[in-house]
Order: sequence, then structure tokens, then C-alpha cells
Amino acid sequence: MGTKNLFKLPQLKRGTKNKMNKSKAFTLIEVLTAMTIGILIIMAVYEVYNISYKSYKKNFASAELTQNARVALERMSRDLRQTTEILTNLPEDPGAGTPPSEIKFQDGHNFWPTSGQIQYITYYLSGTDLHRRLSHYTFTVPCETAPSITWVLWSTRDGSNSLAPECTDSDVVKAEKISSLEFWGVKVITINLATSDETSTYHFETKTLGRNIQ
Amino acid sequence: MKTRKAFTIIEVLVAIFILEVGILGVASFFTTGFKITKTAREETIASNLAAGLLDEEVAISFDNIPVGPGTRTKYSTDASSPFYNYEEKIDITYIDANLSDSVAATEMKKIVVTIYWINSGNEKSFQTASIKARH
Repeated sequence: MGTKNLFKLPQLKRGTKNKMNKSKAFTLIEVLTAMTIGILIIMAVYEVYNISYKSYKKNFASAELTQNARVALERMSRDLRQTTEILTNLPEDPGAGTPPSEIKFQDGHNFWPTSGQIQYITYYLSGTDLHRRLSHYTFTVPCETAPSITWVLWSTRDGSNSLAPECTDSDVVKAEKISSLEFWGVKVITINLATSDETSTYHFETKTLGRNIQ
Repeated sequence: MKTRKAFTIIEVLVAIFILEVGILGVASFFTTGFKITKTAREETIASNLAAGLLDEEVAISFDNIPVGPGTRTKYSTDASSPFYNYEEKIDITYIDANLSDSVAATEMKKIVVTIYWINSGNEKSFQTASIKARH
């Protein structure tokens, strides 16, 4: 390329008969066609985005139901495995009576009487929330602030032959979206639960051996 | 250059085909995603069922745990049960001090629980095991 051409101003050869410059602009048809194609592609891409967002939401909701069930089963079986006494009356199997939807038992992790305190765990449903309530029994007044050394077994009776009052120590939601919960069995406790949202319901079941139950 | 002012029908068809393959490829991501979520849920169900059956065996006193290969049976024979599609098998063997299977009676029993189920035409299984010792 010669140096001359470097400084040559670009020129539109408007109106010349050069064959290369026959189409200087797009025709209306070309613009419309291009726009239509462009819009179609944008719509298609949006649809792909929309579908992926919907499927993400659906998968997330589904996984959430599984997670809640998994956590609920794991928490409950971990506590039940260690317990020394179950207070709730459980039928041997669902045919032998209506299984309760809550369970109360002694906390076996603070294994009494070796160490720790006498505390009770209750798993119950409030709406679709699974609660884990810790409570204790004591004759000391006020019950709420009584030191753990004064806590007694639920079946302990005082001089006038009455049972100790019960107070809640904590009450925490452990899992959500639990639509049904059932317990049954003797020593080997079956936990049956279902999780659901607006569109789906999933069922889960496990069994736990209460190895410290006498 | 003059002869190629427009796309030929072949070019258009090839372009549409490529676009189609791309779109279908992306669509398969979603079905795969749903399948994975479903498989994960079924594995959670199966592992909980297996853990339950294992605890049921562990609850039995050492001498009463039946030794031998198990048979595959339905977890629930009730067709309306949500676990009707799950099958269970419990294999129990004696094991020696090196934890390897032993034909002769020993002081330890290995309990292997397997849960089978059908996931989109294929059989899946989940296995868990525990050891029970005489004490």
C-alpha cells in the first residue's frame, strides 16, 4: 500500500455505477425480515431462560422437601436412639391403634443417672413445622428458673403424692413443610412422615432402636 | 459473488437443524435435572428404609438373628403404600476377627441390608451394613 492512500479520505461513491455499491442501504423488506428473525431469536432465548428458571424453582422446591424430611428423620432418630423412656403411648403398629403425631421421651444424651440432668424432649407438629421442645419437671418454685440439680423424673411424686409441674426450657423449629407425622412400635420405633408443598407430597419412613429403653 | 445473493434451501435447513439440536440439547438439561432430583429423593427414602431395617435386626438378640442369605421381598405388600416399589434383602453372615466372612459360627454377625427400587426403567439399590457381637 502506498503512503499516498493512507491519507486519502474515505469516499462514498454515491451515484456511481460501481457494481459493488449497488446496495448502499437495506431495503424495507430486509429490515423487516431481520427484525422478525431477531425478535424470534430473542423470544426463543427468553423462553429458554423462563423454562430454566421454572425448572430451577421446581427442583429447588422438590429438593427442599427431601432435605426437610431427611433432617427431621435424622434429628428424631438420633434422639430416640439414646432415650431411656418414651412417655407417649405408641401402638405396636398402625393396625393396633392410631399412631400419635407427637412423641415425648427422656433425653438420653444427658444420660441419667450417670451424669447430667433429667430433661425431656417432645417432637410435635405445629402446622407444618416440626418443633423440638426441651422441658423439665421440678418441685422447686419457680419452675422455669429452678437449677438443673432439682430436676426430677416426670413420675416423681412429692410428700402430698402429686407430680412435679413441667416447664419448657427451649422450643425450636427443626424442620418445615411436614404434612404428616406418625410414630409407632415398641423398642424399635417407626417414624413415618410426609413432606408437601402446593404441588407434591413425598413419604419417608425409618425405624430406630431405642437401645437404652429398659 | 453475484450468484450467491441469498441462502440456498440447504443452508437454511442446515442452520435450522443446528439451532434445533442446540435447543433440544439445552432442553435435555432440564429433564436430566429433574431426574437427578428424583434419584436423590429416592436414595434418601431408600437409605432411611435401610437404616430402619438394620436397627430392627440389631434389636434382635445375637443368637436369634438368622444367619444366611436373605430373600428379596417387598418392603410393603400393601399396594397403596408409598414404599410399595421398594424391595428389601437382608443378608447375615458370621465374620471372623479380620471382619471377613466365616462359614463357622463366630461371635460376630454381619448384617447387610439392601434396598432395591426401579428408577426410570433401571434398577437402583442402596446398601448399608452393621456388625452385631455377642455380649
